Formats: sequence, C-alpha cells, structure tokens
Amino acid sequence: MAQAAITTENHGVEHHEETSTGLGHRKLLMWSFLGSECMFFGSLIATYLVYRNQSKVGPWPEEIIDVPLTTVSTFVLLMSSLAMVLALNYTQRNRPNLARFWILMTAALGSGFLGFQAFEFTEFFHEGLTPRINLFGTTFFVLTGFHGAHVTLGVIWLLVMSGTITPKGMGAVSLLATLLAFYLGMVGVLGMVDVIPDIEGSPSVIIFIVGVASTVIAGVWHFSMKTTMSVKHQAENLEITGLYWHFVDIVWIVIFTVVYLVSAGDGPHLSEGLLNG
Amino acid sequence: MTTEESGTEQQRPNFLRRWLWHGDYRYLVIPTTYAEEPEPEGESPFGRAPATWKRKWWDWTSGDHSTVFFYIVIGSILSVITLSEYWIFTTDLQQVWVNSSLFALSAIKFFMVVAFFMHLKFDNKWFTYLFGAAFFLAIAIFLSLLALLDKLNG
Amino acid sequence: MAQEAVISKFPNPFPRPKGYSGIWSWITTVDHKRIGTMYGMTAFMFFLVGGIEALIMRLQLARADNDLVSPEVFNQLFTMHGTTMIFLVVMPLSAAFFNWMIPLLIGARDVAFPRLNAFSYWTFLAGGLLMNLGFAFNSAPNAGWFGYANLTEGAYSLGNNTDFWVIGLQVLGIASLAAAFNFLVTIINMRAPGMSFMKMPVFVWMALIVQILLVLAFPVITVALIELQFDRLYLTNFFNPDAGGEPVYWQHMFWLFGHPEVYILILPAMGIVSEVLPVFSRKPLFGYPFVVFAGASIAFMGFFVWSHHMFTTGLGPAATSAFALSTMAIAVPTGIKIFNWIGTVWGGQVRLNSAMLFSLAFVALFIVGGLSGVTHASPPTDAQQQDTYYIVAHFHYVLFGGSLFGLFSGVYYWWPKITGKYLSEKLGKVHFWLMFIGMNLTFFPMHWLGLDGMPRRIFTYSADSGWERTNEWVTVGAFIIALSIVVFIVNFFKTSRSGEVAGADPWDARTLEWSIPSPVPVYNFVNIPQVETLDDWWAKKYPETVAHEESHDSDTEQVAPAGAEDLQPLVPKVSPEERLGEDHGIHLPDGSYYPLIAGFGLAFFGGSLMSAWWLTLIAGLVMFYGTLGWIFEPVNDPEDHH
Repeated sequence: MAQAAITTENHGVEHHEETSTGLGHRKLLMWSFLGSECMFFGSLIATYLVYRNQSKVGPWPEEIIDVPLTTVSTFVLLMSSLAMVLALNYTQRNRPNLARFWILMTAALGSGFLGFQAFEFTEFFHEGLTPRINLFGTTFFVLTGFHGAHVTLGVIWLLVMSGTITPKGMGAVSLLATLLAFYLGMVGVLGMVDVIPDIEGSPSVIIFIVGVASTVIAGVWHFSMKTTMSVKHQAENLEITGLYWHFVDIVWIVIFTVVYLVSAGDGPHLSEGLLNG
Repeated sequence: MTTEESGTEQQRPNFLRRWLWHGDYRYLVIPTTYAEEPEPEGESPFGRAPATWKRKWWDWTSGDHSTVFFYIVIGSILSVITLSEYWIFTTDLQQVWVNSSLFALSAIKFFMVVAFFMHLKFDNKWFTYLFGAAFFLAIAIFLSLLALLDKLNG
Repeated sequence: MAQEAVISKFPNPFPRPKGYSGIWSWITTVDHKRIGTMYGMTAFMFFLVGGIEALIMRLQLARADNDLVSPEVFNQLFTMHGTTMIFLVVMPLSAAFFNWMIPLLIGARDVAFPRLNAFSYWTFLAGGLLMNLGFAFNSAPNAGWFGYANLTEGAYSLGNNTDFWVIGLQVLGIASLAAAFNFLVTIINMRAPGMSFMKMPVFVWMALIVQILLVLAFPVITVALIELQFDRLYLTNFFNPDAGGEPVYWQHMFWLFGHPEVYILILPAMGIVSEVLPVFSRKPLFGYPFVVFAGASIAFMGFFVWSHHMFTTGLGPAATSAFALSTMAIAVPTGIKIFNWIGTVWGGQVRLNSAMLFSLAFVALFIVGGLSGVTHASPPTDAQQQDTYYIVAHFHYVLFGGSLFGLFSGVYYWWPKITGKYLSEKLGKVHFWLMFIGMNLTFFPMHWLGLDGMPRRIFTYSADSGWERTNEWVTVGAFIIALSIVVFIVNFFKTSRSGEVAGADPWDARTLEWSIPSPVPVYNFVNIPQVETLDDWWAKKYPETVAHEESHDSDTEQVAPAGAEDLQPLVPKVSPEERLGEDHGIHLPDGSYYPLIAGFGLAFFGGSLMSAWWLTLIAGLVMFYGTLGWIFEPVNDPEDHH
C-alpha cells in the first residue's frame, strides 16, 4: 500500500478538481508573482550594471568587497534553501515536528544571512561607503538592501508558518512571541549598523543581545514543543512559502555573481564591459 | 514496510538513475499519503533516513530517505559549484574566461534550484510557462537595454 | 481541525460581516460586481476632475498671452491631467469592466481572490486620493506625467510636489499589480468547463494580455520610482549627473514601462469593441484567432519599442534604426485587428445604436491616431514633431478617440446587464455625436498647431505666433466634449429613475453573461455553464447557425432565426428574494474589513514617508495589522476555501 502511495501520479501536488487547469489558485498566483519579481530584480540588477564603473569618487569595489565572507553567506542562504525543501518534504509526509524543525532551521539560516548582510553593511559604512557617497554605493545598497528586505519578509513568513504548526492553542502565543523576538533582533541589528540614528553605541548592543537571546529562547521553546496534529492541509501553503524563499535564493545567486564575483575588481582604472572586465 | 524491498526489485539500468529516478522510471515523486502512522520517538532531523542508510546505504531509491537524500545531493552539488565559483574568482585566467564561466556556473545553479528545489521539473507545465516566459522576457529586455547603452563589451 | 484551533485563538476583533445591504456591506464587500461598480464610479469621479483640469488649461490657452492661471498652476494642471486620465481613469475604468465582466464572460461566480480584489480597489482609491492630496497643500505634482529626471530630482523640484507623484504612483502600481495577479489567475483557472483558451471571448483574451503586461511592466516603474524616491528622500545618486548618474536612464526605465502601459490602456477597449461589433452586426467576429494573436504580438512587441519615445536623446544610428523598425512593425498586428473589425461589420445586419456608434467611432478614430503614430516612428519626422502639439493630437486620438470611446461603448453595451435597465438611446446618441464632434474639433487642429511648431506644456504663447484662432476652436471643442459628458450624466440619472427595463438578453448577444438575469444575481450562475463553442450562448440559442458557421456558409448566418423568443425560458427567472443565493445552496465569501485596512494603511505608509518617522511607524503597524488579520481571518465556510 505504501508502494502504491509512493508511485501515485500526483507528485505531491494537491489536485484542484474545481479549477480549469487543476492547479491551486494561490500557487498559480505565486508563480506569476515570481515572474513579476524577475522584472523587479532585473530592473535593479540592470541599474547596477548600467552604473558599473561610473562612480566619480571612491570607495571602489576593489577596496570594499569581501568575496570570501560573501561566499560563506551565499552558502548559508543556499543551505536555507535545502532546509526549506526538507521542511516541505516533511510537511507533505505529514510529520509536523520535523516540518517545524526545518521551517525554523530555514528561518534561522535566513536570519544568519541577514546577520552577514548587517555585518557587511556596517563594515562598508565604517570604510566610508554609504548610499550617498557615489554611484557604486547607491546601486549596491539599494540592490542588496531590497534583496535583504525580501529575505526579511520571507523570515517573518516562515515564522508565521511555524506558528501554525504548534500544539493546539499555542499557535498565536508562540507566533507573537517569536515575531517579537525577531523584531527585537532586527532592531538590534539595525541599531548596530547605525541605521537608526537615535540608538547609538551601547543601547543598541543591549537591544541586539536581548534580541538574540529572545530569539534563541523562542527557538528552543519552539523546538521543545511536540505535536501530533496533521499538517497535510499546510502542504500547499508551505510550498508557496518555499517558492518565494527559493526565488529569493536564486536572486542572490545572480547578485553574488554579478555584484561580487564579476565586479569585485572594479576600480578607477577599469571601464570595461560585462563579459571582458 | 515493503517499500524498500519492492523498490529494489525494480530493474534499474544505471547508477545515476538509481539516484535520481524512482522505481517506475519517473523522476522524484513526493508522496502525500505516505505517513499516516505516528512519528517515531527520538527521530533524527532527517526522519528515518539515517537509520535506513546504515542498513542499505547503497539503495537510494526507496523509503522516505530517497527524497531527503536527493535534496542533499542537489544541495551538495550547489555548494560545490559555489566553491568552484570562488576558486575561479581567485585564478589568474583571462577576465573574459573568468566572467563567462562564472555566468555559466551561476546559470547552472539558478536552473538547478528552480528545477529541483522549486519542483519546476516535476510540476505542472503551466508554472514553467508562466515563470519561463517572464524570466526570458526579462533577460531579453535587460540585455537589449545593456547593449543599447554599450555596457556589454565596453 | 487543528488549524481551526490555532486560528480561532488569533485575536480577530472584526468578524466577517455578513449583510448584503447598507453602506457597510459596500465598504466590506468582496463581490466582484460591487467592486466593479465602485471602480467605475470612482474612476468616473476622477474623470470629471481630470476633465475640469483640461478645461482650465484650454481656457488658459484660448487666448494668446492669457493669465488665467500662473505657470506654476499650469504645470500642476497638465501633470495631474495626464496622470489622472491614465492611472485614475482609463486603467480603473478598464478594471471596472474586468471586475464586472471577466467572471461573467468565463462563467465563474467570482474572481479567484475576492479579498485581494477589494484590496486592489481600496488601494487604488487611497492612492488616487493621496496623489490629489497635493492640491490641498498647494503642492500637486508639477513635473509631467513622465516625471523626467533630473527635473524631478530634489535639487530642481523643491517642495513635496514630486513626492506626491512618486508615492501616489507607487501605491497605484501596487493596486494595479494586485488586481493583475487576481485577474490573471481568474482567467487561467476559473473558466467554465469546456471553455478552452480559443473559446474565450476576445474581451477576456485582451484582459489576459493586459494582465500579463501589467505583471511584467509595472515592476520596472516600481524600481524607477524607488530610485527616484531614494534620490529625493535619501539623497542617493541614481539620476544625479554630478555623481555620474544619467538622467537619460530614467527615460529608459520610464518608457520600458511606459510603452507597454499604452497597450495596457488600449487593449481593454479593443476587447470591448471586439465584443460589441459582432453583436450589433449579427455576425461572428471576423478572424477570431487573428484578433487574438494580433493582441498577443502587440503585447510582446510592445516591450521592444520603448526607445521611440527618446529618439531625440541621441541613441546612435544603429539603435535608432532598430527601434524605428520595431515601431513600424507593431503597426502590422494593429492593422490586422482593424481589418478584422471592418470585416466583422461588412455585410452584417448593422444596428446603429449608441454602443455600436461608439465602437465604430473607435475604429475610425483609432485609425487616425494610429497613422499619426506611424509618422513619428520615423526618427527624422519625430525629431520635428517631438514635444509639439502634434504628439498631443496623436495620443489623444488613440487614448480619447480610442480607449475612452471603446470604454463608453462598453458602458452602453453592458449597462442593461449591470443595472437591468437600458440607458436612453436618444440621449446616448446626443452624447455620442457631441463627443465625436467635440473630440475631433479639439484634437484634429492640434495636428496643425504641432506641425506649425507650437510646443507642448507651455502655459501661454505670444499673439504674433498665429496660433490664437486655432486654439480658440480647440477650446470650443473641449467644451463640447464637456457638454457631452453632462448629457451622459443626465442620461445616467434619468434612466436610473425611469429607465426602460431590459431583459436578460436585450441585444440578442453572443456570450455567457447574457444567459443570466439582468441585473445579475449575487452568485452570477445558478449552474456553471458547460461551454462547447466560441460564442456559446449564441450557439445554444441558434444551434442551426453554428452548423453553418462550421461549413463556412457565411450567407445564411445573417438570417435572423425565427422563434428567438421561444428561447427565453433558457434564462432562469429569479425573484429578488432568491438573489442572495440561499435557495440554491450557493455559498459566497462574506465581506471583510481587512482589505480596507491594508489598502489605506499602505497609502498612509507611503504618504507618511514625506513626514515624521513615527507616523511611518504607526502606518507600518496599521498595514502589518491589516495583512496579518487578513491572513488569519477565518473563512466563513470551509467548503468555499480555495
């Protein structure tokens, strides 16, 4: 019987008898949204490339960009994609606790990526690269910043999803607690990079520590909760979350190549094209 | 569970297919009606996969670890590509070769994530049409914009 | 079950409202017909606003060296006239028809995401109000509807004028995108059984193409607006030449969006005309697949012609030639459509009522506008015409003579379906002829003015230029258009009180929406129809003509079949009590407050970026609350949930 189940034709995809194509409305919506996002990030990346090597003053990419560090953060985001696909796998197999473990792991790896980005932004600020200083700063921060905003939205979404796979009655409470923890963590990170001008120095460190601590506590609390609820009805929702998450990952694959690997050597001496320089 | 037994009985032409294909000569199948039974105590994050790997590590094609292992293989390939991207970045090859191979590798990563992690390879063709049309239109538009502004071969 | 347990714990102070009457039932509605009506009413209000702006401009230009308005106010007027007419009139009027007609034409009970639909409407309304809020602070947008950088940069556009434009447009873009995803999924996924793509009405096809254009073109303007907004608010360098930024790059981004946008404006009207002409010619649409594929290829090619708006910026000979060629090529599918429309009317039993007149005028005026468009596909000619009234004449022929005539045709055509009453034919014809004459009197002389060198966007001109007499006539024409709109409003109020009651199928039409009662019951279809052919309702009424159509015998199908009245029992008779659907066991989603909260929260958030940070924080929380409440709002009926 299990064999029959494995070899069913449905490929783990919910079949919607009532629609013309047999596909769920929301999944179709997500795929067309991702098509739209191709144009969104395409425009941002095109802007970066059009303005590549057009800065009048430094700091230049060759002085600023740290490729080994970003390789690690790219790896972290890649692993979060792996965690995401495992989370979906276990949701489709109706294993709530494993599913929640991997959802939270995805969120944690995503937050780790955001941490790398916050660290990187802080370093760049200290080295004198700001969005206002030159065209490289402008295009770099807006492109990677909008990607980071997408990751942040994805992390919040994952936390909401994990909140729906918690033991009965705990969902709303743990969701709100985790969101609060995540929010504190983000405020701390933003405070660290001096984006919030009113919070400087030690207070932001305290908020950062509180944020990290409360995130850890919320995470441990989450992991300790075991449930026997059925999560099959969440499979399509999580699949849609996953599509968004993987898309954010593939956008980063392109950004990593275009902004970091290809342009890392850009400087005042260079004014060449995309392929030969 | 009869899964493992019957899975291995199927005829499998080569090693690669055993990794990526299922018994019925189809790609990865994600079951929805698989585990109605309660979750075992003290299970690993990879489900029952490690236990079955120990028993039959050479059999990738059956039981619930097949998909887990499949994803781990894809993830590993992606990681290896990322590392080799870094290695290419550090070499002293001509820029045009470095950049071309970097774009090629990132394209491979892109399509692997889309095909396997986003399940586009296994899913309904509608999604491929929707996303593919938008993606290639975006590529065409922005390449023509960059060509128009003389940014491709400066 | 477990999910319900989780969800019921989530704080939900606003339960889903259930009533179907009273003001709150409209505010919280998720019914596509009511949202369509609200879209239409709001867009018509903005149409009056934009029209009044145009009239003030025409009064100013009627005399040489006039000083009715200051140059500053004139800038605000032409900017807001353009922005309003494009984003707050033609697009939402099209959206009104999409809302009303897509589900009816494809045999569905609602759109795919009813609450997202409501969100689109409220976001559109809030964005439109935000954009016009500038007038209250005496800082309405004043840099043209295209917002060319670096004129719009902080250093050159002081005050909040351009901020209202940037942020208002951003909010409107989100509204359009949300609606576009909704209709896209609706058309792909909710067609009645048997309705394959090549059996869809042409209006639905054009709607599908428009949604694809919206989905792909709007992200580009979103990014361009983000960049401009960052330049203005956070002093970045995207379009700042001092730091190496290129103002021309704004033009590229804007027209990358802007050219698909003109097809977003015209294709819905083309769809309406493709529905109206066959009905009032009693013939099927001539060359249906050609009309469909011409629309699709217009959309695709529309992405690769953007630079013809920028020939005079100096793109280089190769690029200029390429874009000139692609621009001329796009006239080919447009021409195919025009021949198909003419072929549809040719030899038909033409009924010249208001809807048909507007459609025929659409074809005629669109030819004029299309031909003048081809003239400035040629770069040398374009260099002469750039920034003159010739361009103004061209795009008013395609947008006013085209889009708006098509949309009014749709108003007269679908009015009996929407309200259950006819609009008065007599007043309708007065409306049509006044508008037709006024339109030509207004915009045709602009060709001469333009070729004579009168620039666009000037607030006045000197008496010795020799333009005064022509401008007087143009102003007279504008007021004739205004008069025609007054006639339409009179028609609206008169027929809403004492209009002639229309039956379910007053025009003896071809498509599914005429198979259900007028006005449409809240659930649309008692039984979802089974579709067999293109123009399925016609085929069900007159099966004998379909056989002839298949044998390509075009003479017999013009013969009005006898006994058409006998077919009336096909239309279900529904009493007003039954309209809510309870008797048929049809469950529809209840209303919701959250789209309203999220939509206005979004506009509030955008607007607050111009003011204090704590306002932004509050607005962000409102938006977040609206979204979260939306997500966790319980479904009224678990069976409905998909």
